[in-house]
Order: sequence, then structure tokens, then C-alpha cells
Amino acid sequence: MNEPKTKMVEKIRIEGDRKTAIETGRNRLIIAGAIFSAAFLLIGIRVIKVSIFNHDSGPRYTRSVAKDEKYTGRADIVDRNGVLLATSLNTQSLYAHPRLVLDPEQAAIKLKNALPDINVEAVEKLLRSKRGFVYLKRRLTPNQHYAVNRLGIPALYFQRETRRIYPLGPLAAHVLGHTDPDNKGLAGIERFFDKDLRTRQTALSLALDARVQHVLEQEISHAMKSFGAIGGAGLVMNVNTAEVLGMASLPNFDPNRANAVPRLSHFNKTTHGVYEMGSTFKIFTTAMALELGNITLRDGYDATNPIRIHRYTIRDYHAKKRWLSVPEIFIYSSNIGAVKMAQKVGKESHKQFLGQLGMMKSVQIELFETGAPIPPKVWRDINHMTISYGHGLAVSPLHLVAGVSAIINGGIYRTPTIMRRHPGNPTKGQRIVSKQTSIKMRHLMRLVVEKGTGGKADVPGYLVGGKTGTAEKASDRGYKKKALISSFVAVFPMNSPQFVVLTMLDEAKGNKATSGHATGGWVAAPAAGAIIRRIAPILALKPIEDEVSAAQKLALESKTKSFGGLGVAAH
Amino acid sequence: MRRSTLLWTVLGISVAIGLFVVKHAVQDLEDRLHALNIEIISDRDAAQVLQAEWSFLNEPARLEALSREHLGLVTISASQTITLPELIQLIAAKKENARIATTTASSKPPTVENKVVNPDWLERTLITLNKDQ
Repeated sequence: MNEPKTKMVEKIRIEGDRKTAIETGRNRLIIAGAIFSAAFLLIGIRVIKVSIFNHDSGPRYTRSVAKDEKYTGRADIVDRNGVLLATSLNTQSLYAHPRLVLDPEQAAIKLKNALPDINVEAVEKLLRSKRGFVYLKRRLTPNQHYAVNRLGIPALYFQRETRRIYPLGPLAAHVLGHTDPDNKGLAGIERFFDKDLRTRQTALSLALDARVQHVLEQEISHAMKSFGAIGGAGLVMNVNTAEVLGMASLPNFDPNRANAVPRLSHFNKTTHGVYEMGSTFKIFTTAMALELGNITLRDGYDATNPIRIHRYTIRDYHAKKRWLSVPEIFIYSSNIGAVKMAQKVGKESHKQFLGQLGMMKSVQIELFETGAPIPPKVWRDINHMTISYGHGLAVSPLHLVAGVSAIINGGIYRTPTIMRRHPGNPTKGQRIVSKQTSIKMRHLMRLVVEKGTGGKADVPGYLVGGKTGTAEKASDRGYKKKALISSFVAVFPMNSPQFVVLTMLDEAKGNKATSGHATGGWVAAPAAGAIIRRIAPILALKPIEDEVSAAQKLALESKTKSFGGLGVAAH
Repeated sequence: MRRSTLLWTVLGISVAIGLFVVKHAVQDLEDRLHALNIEIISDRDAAQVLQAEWSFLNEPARLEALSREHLGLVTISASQTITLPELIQLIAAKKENARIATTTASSKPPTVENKVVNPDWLERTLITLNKDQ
């Protein structure tokens, strides 16, 4: 193509200065062209590289957030109705790369404006350090976050961190427990289910009912104030499913600020503390005598004289000094009668029976804070006798409630649980006493409230039954006369038991209203009554219209030997 | 020769343009997805905060104090509880008593008087209840 042109060019000959000028121009054109081509080539290569082989920051990959994906560090804890008890909120923590800070002094002064509670010198020192990473302040509030961001100090960064929040404050603090600043569970459910809570996607449902829990804490706290008690405990449990609806240990604490209170208030009295529970143990002794001792409600024992063994004397608090029938022994809480009933059964059977009721080992509830019972080292005759009325064997209040549930619910022992169970799918049960013994005990416990020491726990319409308990606190040397553990265990409604309520006061003192008495019937029973009055409507229990005939029917059932035609616990 | 060259050139250019357009469309979508994800997460955080606040505001002790102050509600006693079938019976008895009272002036006072109920209110309540069924 170029040939003819060149030939034509060759034909024209330019000589001299003109030729050199053209040559120079051509050379310059070639050089300029080469530079431009090289530049374009370079740009072209770069464009291709950038647009096709761009792997500078790895492959870009954005995925969508799954619908049910977890977005906070730790799963929520909710009560049986879905009320939020513990949750995790996202917060921003402020950190710095000190080596990249240009002017530490200025930065520290500026930060003081945004975060008034920091120490300028300390922050400056941190920013001058040679470390690569320092936390300046963890878990800023949203306003603080905004203020620090506005300062625009280079080398300061934020990190998302979750903060555990307990919106209901001290409510159920001993059940929930608390966490450390790194969200590690330190107590209660938070500790027991620590691993599970870190990984699970849905909220953890407890058996607790926040309303019941509130009533329980409030009434026990009220009773503590009225009687100057140093501590209190309360439990509400479903007798049929062994679900714990309320568990209160006072004094309590706010898990949001768990370290602000003395460690002592972290102690869970209902599961961790073990106490000699006193006369409430007569429920077990009487049930055992009816079940194993071949006695009936018509039998009785002479309780005229105190029992003397070695250097001890066992006497009655409400002494009647006469022959007492089995119901009378139970109603008047006769120690002498209880001892005689236990002796009828025998030491080994007594020990075995209490073992079946779980009184010899820790309760296998979903908490690490469980106390092991303190049984006597050797079961001597004296232990056999004192344990029949609740002295000499220390158990936790939860042990007692679980045992009473087993006696009352038809005779099946179930391990208590804090986790919500499907109705109709309770924990595995073990039969302890027959259904008939259970009905007899229902009748006897109703009589205690109707005619005996538990009258102050009665609530019209709910056929409350129960048993009082008063025990002197054990000290290093024998028993302290003035320091009492006063308790009341109530079950309602007695014709078809649903719930058991325990109230316990530590070192309650009598006042004018109780004529100086500080026994279970005077200080703990009214609290149990107040609790039942308030929680029964919450738990959707229909009141019994005719309590008298319901109680009579119960009495009749308890006296019937076989249950051919009688509907048990007709309601 | 020329035709095929032209064809390949056009084809090459259109593929390049297509690639460019698609790549940018994908990038835009990814940016949008990323923005949406951030929005979802911040909304979830906000929802979480609101739930905590809801629970905080529903603290039983606080509700109790508020209801005492503004509503004057008290615990239900056993005598204030009634089932729907009992209620229907009660209304029937009320009406019957009212009828008897108008016909015979010296009739006994109705036996259901001890339950304090307002028949008009019951009437209306039952009508609405029946509508719902």
C-alpha cells in the first residue's frame, strides 16, 4: 500500500535546510507517537487488569442476612409467657491504635468533652503507650458514641460489643444469675446453660411466671419487714409437673449491677441453703406411717408425757397432755406423736423412705447452686426420733417442696425443674406412696388450716391446706433458742392439688400483732395466704363455691378404703 | 475476510460492553444488598432495644403502682368469679324473678341477689360475646 507513495516521495527530492527540518519534525512525531502509544498501552493494560483480574481485596461477596439469623451474642431468656427476663443489647466500645495517634494530649482533652467521666491523664498515658490496641471505654451509650464520632480523632475506632441486660431488675435474680463483662455466665441459669445460650438461636423458656415471682418476692419481703427477719425464701411449684413458677431468695440483688451488693445476697436460700425445717417434716412422717406403718386415721398415740432418751427430752410445743389420734397429732403438730409414728415404721424404713423422697442427695435442678443435705453421720435412735419432726436432717427448701408435692399429687416424686415443660410431658416420676395415702394427707393438711396451726393461711374459695414448721437454728453448740427458721408449706386447692407454696423466714421476731410469737403459723402462714390470694386468679384457678362440702367430700374420700366408685379429686 | 473481521470486531465490542454493564449491575445490586443488610441489622438492634424497653416498662412492681394510682384495681376475690354458663343461668333467673315480681307483688326476694350483677350490662356483654362466636 505504501509503495506507490514512497515512489512518489522518492521522486521529489528536497535538499539542504528544508530536508533537515522535515527530518527533525518526523523524528519528533515518531517519538511523541511512541510515548503516547506506550501510555495508552499502559492504561489499557491497567483497565483490563482492574476490570477483569481485580482481586486486590479478595472476591467481593455479600450475602443476605437470614430471616432467623442470630444477631446478638447471647440468647434471650424469657418466662413461661414470653416476658423478657434477660436479653443482649448491642453497644459500641471505644478503642485506639496508640501508634497511629498524632497528638495524644489533644486527643485526650477532646475526649474528655465527649466522655466527661474519663480521666484525661490516664487516657493520655494509654494513647502514648507503645501497644497496638487499647480499650479506652467499653460499652458507650448511643449519645456518647455519637459525641466521640463527632470529634473525628484519627486512630480511634469502635467495636460492636453486646451487653447483657435484665429489664426486670432484681426480679428472679437468683434464678437468672448474672454474667461477667465478657458475657460469660457466672451464676444461675446463665451459668448452667452458658454454652447453650452462646449458640442457641431462639430464646430460652423458663417455667417461671414473672407475675407469680413478683407476688412471691413482694409478700416475703413484706413479711420479713413486719417480723424483722434477716432473710426469707419462697417457692411456688406446680405439684403435677414439678415446674417451678416462682423462686425467691431474699435479700436479693440486681443482676445488672451484680457486683454492687455483698456476695452474701447472691446466695440462693431456696436451693443452696440447707436448714432443719422442723414440723413440716411431719408430712413425710405421717405419710410414711400411713403407707408403711399399717396405721389408719382412727389410730392414735398417747402424748401425755414427754419422751426421755439419754439426756434429751422431746416435748410438744402445743402440748395437749392426752391421747391423740393421728389427725390430732398432725393438726396440733405433736412431736411425741410423730416420734411414735416413726418408731412404728422403724429406723431403716424411715431412712429409705426419706431417701426415696430425694432427701439424701442434692436436687437435680438446672442450677449449679444446689446444697447437699446434711444427714446425721450415723443414724442412731435419737436421729431417727428427731428427724421425724424435722430436726437433725438439714435440707434445702426445694427438697421440702419437691417432697410435699410427691406426697400430695397422688404419690409420684418428680425432680423439680426451672425449664418450661410441655403440658402432659412432665419429667419422669417415681411412685413414693399410694394414691389413697396421698388423699389422706390432703385431708390432714386441709385440717391444719381449718382447725390447726395454719389458720392464717386460709383463702376462701381455694381450699388451702398446709403445715407449719418452726425450727431452732443450729449453731456450733446445740441450738439457738431465739433464732428460728419459721416456715409454712401450703398446697391448693386441696381437693385437686395444683400448686405448692412455701414461705420461710430466717430469724423472724414476734411483734404485738402475733403476741410475740414467731412460729411458722404466726409469721409464715399469713404470707402464704397472701400469696395464694393473689396468684390463684393469675394462675386461672376457678374458686370453689361450696368449700364446706368440698372439704367434707375430701374427708369422706380419705376414710374410704378402696376407690371403686369414687372419683378421686373430682373438681 | 473483511466481513468476518467486521463481525468479530462488532461481536467482541458488544460482549465487552455487555460484560461491563452486567458487572456494574451486579456491583450496584451488591451495594444495595449490603446497605439493606446494614439496615436490617440496625433495625433488629432497634427492635431488640424496644423489646427490652417494653419488658422494662412492664415490670410487675411498676404496673402495680400505676394501677393502684390510676385504676384502683384490687385482687379478684372468689365471690367475684363466675363462669359463662353460670352467668347465663343467672340472667335467666333474674328475668324470671323480675317477671314474677311484676305479676305477684308479694313474691319472695330472688335467691340470686347476693351476686351483684347488672342485668343490662350482662345482656349487652352476652350479645357481643355471642356475636364473636
